[in-house]
Amino acid sequence: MSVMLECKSLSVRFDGLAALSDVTFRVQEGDLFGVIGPNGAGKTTLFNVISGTLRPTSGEVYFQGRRISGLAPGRICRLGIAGTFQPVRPFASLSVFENVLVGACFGRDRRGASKDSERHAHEALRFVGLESKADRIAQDLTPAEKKRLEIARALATDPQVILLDEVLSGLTQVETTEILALVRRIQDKGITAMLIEHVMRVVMELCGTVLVLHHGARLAQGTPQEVMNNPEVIEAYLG
Amino acid sequence: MMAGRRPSVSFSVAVFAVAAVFAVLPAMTVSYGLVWLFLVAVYLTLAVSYDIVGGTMGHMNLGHASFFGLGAYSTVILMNQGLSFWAAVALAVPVTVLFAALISYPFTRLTGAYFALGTFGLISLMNVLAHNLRDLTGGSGGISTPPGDRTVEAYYLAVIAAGATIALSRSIARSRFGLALRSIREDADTARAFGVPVDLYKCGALVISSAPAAFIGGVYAWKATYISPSSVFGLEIALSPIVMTMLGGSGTAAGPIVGVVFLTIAQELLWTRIPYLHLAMYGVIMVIIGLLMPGGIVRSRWFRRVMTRMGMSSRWMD
Amino acid sequence: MPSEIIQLTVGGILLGGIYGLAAMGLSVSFGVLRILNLAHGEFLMVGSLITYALFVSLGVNPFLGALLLIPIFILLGAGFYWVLLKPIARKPARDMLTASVLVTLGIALAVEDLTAFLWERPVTGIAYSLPPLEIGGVVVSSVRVLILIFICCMAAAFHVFLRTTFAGKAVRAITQCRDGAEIVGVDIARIAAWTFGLGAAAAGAAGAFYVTLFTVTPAMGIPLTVKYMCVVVLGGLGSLIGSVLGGLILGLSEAAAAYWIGPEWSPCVAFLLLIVILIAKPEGFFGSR
Repeated sequence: MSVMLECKSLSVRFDGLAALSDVTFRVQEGDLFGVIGPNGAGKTTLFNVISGTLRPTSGEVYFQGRRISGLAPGRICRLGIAGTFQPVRPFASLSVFENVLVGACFGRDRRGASKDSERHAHEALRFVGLESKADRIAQDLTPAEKKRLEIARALATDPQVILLDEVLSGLTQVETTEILALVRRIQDKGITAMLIEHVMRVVMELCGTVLVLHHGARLAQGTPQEVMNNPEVIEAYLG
Repeated sequence: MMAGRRPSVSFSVAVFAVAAVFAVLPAMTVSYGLVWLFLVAVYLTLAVSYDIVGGTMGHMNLGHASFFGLGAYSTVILMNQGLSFWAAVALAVPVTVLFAALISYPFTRLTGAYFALGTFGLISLMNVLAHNLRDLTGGSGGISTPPGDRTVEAYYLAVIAAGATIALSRSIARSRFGLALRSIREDADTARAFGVPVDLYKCGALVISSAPAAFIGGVYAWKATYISPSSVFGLEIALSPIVMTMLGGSGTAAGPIVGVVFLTIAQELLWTRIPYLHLAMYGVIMVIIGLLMPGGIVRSRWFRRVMTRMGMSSRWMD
Repeated sequence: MPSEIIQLTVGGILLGGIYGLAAMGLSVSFGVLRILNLAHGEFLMVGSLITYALFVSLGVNPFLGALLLIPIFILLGAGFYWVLLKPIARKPARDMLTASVLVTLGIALAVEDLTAFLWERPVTGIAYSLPPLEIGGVVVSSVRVLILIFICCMAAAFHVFLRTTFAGKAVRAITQCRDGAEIVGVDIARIAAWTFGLGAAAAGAAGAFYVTLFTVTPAMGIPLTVKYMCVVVLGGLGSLIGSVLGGLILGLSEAAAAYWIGPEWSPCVAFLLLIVILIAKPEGFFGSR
């Protein structure tokens, strides 16, 4: 296994407020890497830095050994990192198919075959189980379907790393189970996944590695078991 | 909605029929009717080209008529240098497109209300320039071309321009470029995150939409033989194509066309009888659209019902 | 020459003050409503014409006129909001933008055209004067000085209102976080209506001063709105101090352009400034955002 993604002492400051401070970690290829932490711990900020929508105040991000911090978000997407948003941000008045097609047309590596974008978009929709809704307008979908749509849009870019920001929040029990199965199938495709999650049970069951953020700093990292038994983590969550 | 769907036979027949009617009209109508149809074609060209930026990309370009006016002034000025109309308009269009490319840089940084405001400011700037650069534009007194009656030729040119602009706008809507413009309309940041070259495409949309407006501006000036700052940069010419588009339904294929037809007929019936308060009437129509039917006629239920019954494909209404 | 420059500066400051006063109203109401009000300049135009009518028919002096206009325009503005803008304020952002441009620009066109129809000649200022003032050898019109003082007082009053009163705090709360303000029980529609009224009153009062100094034409409303927008963008949204400073910058630049290049070019200044700011610093020079 090789290192897929590496963050080196990342810091982000907004007007003096440290959203991330000196965060360093590595994500192995094929891993399902969980990021947990209380509200305001800097989880989404971390995702925004990796996807390029936010520039770190200091520190670097490396993707397959190549420095990507400072690149434009579209560039990073084409290199192979795509994500979902929390709250969801589908292109509201475009059809489900068109939403995914944007990812397939513009988010993929240019050297890849670009003629087959439509087939590619259909495949992504089939993979997440939204094929029958392809012609619906995105804003008419249920919340769970919107999450699937966002996953499909990210998958349509042929990512090597997918960033999943709270894809389970606000879902029913049944929907949660379904999306979890989807996340496992994404991992089976060989895609490295990073997952922000609040439901501890999910993280413990699913993730190979867990990073705990607290007040923007790395509190702990390791297997779910190691993290759970870490006294500092227990302190942060209960204290 | 995307490429690959061939136009149906009935659609081709309809296009051919419309073209045939427009082709033989000059032989049948009196010149007053022809002038009116010419204006309809001018408005169609302006409205449809406006909607590439205003509807597909969702950026209200209140200064679209800047391109119209610049095309008109360039054509007239070049004709007065001794160029033929064709040579003049063939130069005026690239001049305007270049201008659009230059100004598109600052404007791509603007979104929403600021874009509307900035482009609205642009047309006031053009107006001031046309007033002040007297040596070039004749100032507020305007400027004339060599005289001549060009009604029939101008009519054909305008109809061809309108048809070509509609075809252009449709092919954009069905292309990847059109998909990207619509994704920018919905959420530019998300579009950018998925690799859409947002700034480049915003410039591109503005530049493409400027060409038909510049051409029709040249034709308009050639036919009118006289233009002034208020006739090509005034509020009426700036706002009426936009009002028409909004009334019909911005961002739809049929919207600008329906709006132009509807409002030009209304103008013919009402405006010509009442010599004043035309702008006020536009204003009232704008308020009514804004308050009661922001989607325009095409998106209203009764219109969809009627049109579907008449066999119009729903893709013209999306 | 130096005295000319001083006159020029005074004129620029005065014009800038009038811009700033009117732009302040626009800035605050935009902060609360998130609606681009393209009819804002019409309030100034109508305010000017009313002041003129009052002066000519009843001999009401423009300062008294400005004071009279304030309550009238608060009601007018609040009514304007309640009837025309409240229905569109709840729409999703993009629909709201389109609708607000259509409605406010439509009103602006209707008002201008109707005024032009009813008022055939442009109003060429009010012949109102007081004995001139001499400060350090420079003669300054005392009306102008009074206007400047008046504008400063109004700006200060506006500032105090926003800082100290409950309604003012509600306005600032809405500007910062609309949803949060609503959750804690701020009646947004009502606050928005009164804010809009205040904005209209600021523009109307500015109109009273405008007519004492310049020619008023019905068609000036829309270009003025573009200028206010420029001032608001220059000063940063929601910043009162920014509006005043932005107004001064615009007023002085216009005066300078009129003097050195020619008065016919001064209408370009606002637009060029706007473009420069938008390229250089989209969040404005004095705003925090």
